[in-house]
Amino acid sequence: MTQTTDTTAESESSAATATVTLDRLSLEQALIDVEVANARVIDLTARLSESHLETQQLRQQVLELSTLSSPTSANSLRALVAGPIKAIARRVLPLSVRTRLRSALG
Amino acid sequence: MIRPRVLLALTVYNGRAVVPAALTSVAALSQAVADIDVLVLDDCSPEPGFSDDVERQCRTLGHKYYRSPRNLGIPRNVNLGLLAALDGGYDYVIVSNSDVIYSEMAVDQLVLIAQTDSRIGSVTAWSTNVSIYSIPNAAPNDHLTDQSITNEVGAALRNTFGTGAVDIPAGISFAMLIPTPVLRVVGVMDPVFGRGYCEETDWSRRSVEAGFRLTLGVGAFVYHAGGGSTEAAGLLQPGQTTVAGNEQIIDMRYPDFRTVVGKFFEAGTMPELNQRALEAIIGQASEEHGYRLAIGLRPERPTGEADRAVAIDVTLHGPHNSLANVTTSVFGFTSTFSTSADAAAEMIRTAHGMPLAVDVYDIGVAAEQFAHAIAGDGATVNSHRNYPARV
Repeated sequence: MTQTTDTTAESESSAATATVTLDRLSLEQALIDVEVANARVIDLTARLSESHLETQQLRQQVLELSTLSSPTSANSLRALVAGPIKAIARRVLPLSVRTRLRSALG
Repeated sequence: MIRPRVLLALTVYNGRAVVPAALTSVAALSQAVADIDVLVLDDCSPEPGFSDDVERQCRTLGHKYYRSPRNLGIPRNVNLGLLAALDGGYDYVIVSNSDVIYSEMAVDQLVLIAQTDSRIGSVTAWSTNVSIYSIPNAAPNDHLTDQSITNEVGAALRNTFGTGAVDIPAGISFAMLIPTPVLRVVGVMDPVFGRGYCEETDWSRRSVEAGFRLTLGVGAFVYHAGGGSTEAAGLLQPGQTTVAGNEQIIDMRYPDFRTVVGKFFEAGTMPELNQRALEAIIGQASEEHGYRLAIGLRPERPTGEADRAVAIDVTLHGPHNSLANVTTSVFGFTSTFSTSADAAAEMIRTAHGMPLAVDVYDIGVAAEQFAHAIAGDGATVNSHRNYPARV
C-alpha cells in the first residue's frame, strides 16, 4: 500500500515538474516569437510603405502615358511632326515620288 | 555503449477517433536500440472531456502529458516538443502527428537510419499517406489501423530496406526524426505558418541550406490516417490537402523548391521503391498467411480477420485464353502484372507455393487447366458456375 502511494506521489510530482518545465519553455519561446513578430511587423510596414509609394509613382506614369496616347494627343503630335517631315521630304525626294507618296497616304 | 535517448513528441488537437490508438501504439514501441520517452502535447483541445481522457490514458501508459493553456497552432506546438528535447538533453526528437500507428520497430529503425550518416538532418518514416512519398494502398483505414497488420508491414519493409535512407526534397512531420544537434543549427519551426502546413517544408529547406540531408526511412513504417484533426479544426477545407497562403510563402522563400521536387519525380525513385515495397509486403504476407487464388471475377474481395491471406486474382484473355492479368493484393496493397498464362502459373507457384484455396469463376478449359497447374494434387479446386459477378 505504501509502495503504491509512493509510486503515485512520484508520478504526480514528475508530471508537475514536466508541466513547470513546459510552461517555462513555452513562455520563453512565446517571448522570442513576439520579438520576431514585432521585428517582422516593423520590417513589413517599411516595405509596404515603400511599395505603396512606388505604386503611386507608377500609377502617375501610367496616367501620363495614357494621356499622351489618347486620340487628341495623337493629332497634336502628328501636327507637330508633319511640318519638319514635309520640309525634309521636299529636299531629298524627287517630285514624282512625293506625288506618289501623297496619293498613297491620302 | 551509451544508448541514445529519443523524445517522441506527439501533438494532439481533438481526435477522439484516432488519438487513443496512437497513444497505445507508441507505448508498445520496441526500445531495443534507444530509450524512448513520449511527450503528448495537447494544443488546448476544445472538445469537452477530451483532454481529461487523454491525460488519464497518458498517466496509465506512462507518457508525459502537457496541455497548452491557449491554442498555439501546429508549428508552435511542435516547437514545444523540439525545445523540450533540447532542454531535456535528448539525442533525437520525433515530431509526430496523433493520427498514427507506429510499427513496433519504427523508432529503432529511424534512429539506426539517422546513425548511418552524421549529415542526416531528418528521417521521415514511410507510410501510405506521406505526401508524394506514399506507398499506394486502396483502403489503408480498413487494414492498417490494426496494430498487428502495421507491425507486419513494418517488418516486411525493415527486412527489405534495412537502414536505407532515400534523399527527398522535404521531410513530412507526421513522423519525422531529427537529431537534436541538427536542431541547434537549424532552429525551430517558423510560426509565420500560423495554424500549420508547410512549416516542415520551410524547416527542411533551411536544413538543406545548412548542409544537412533530408531522408525517407524506407525501412521504418508508420501508418498515418492524415488530415483528420486539421479538417475538424477548419484548417483545411474538405478535399483540400494544403494551405495556399503557406505554399506561397514557400514559393517566395525557395523559388527553386518546385524544380527540386520535379527533378525528384523525374528520377523515378518512388515508383521503383513502391514496387519493391509491394513485393516485400505481399511476399511476407503470403509466406505467413498463405494465399487464395481466384480465376475469373470473384464476387467480392475477401476482408476481415479470416482473410489475412494474400488474394491473387487471375483473368485469362486473348487467343485461346493464353494470356493472364494477375492482381495480387493484401491489406489494401496491390500489385499487377500481365504475361502468358503458362508463365503466370509458373511465377505464382514459384513465388507463393501452394494456395490455400483455388476458386474458378471462369468457364472453360483454359481456366480449369490454369487452376490445376497451380493447385496440383495439394489444393481443392472449387468451380463456381454463374454469370460473372462483376461487370
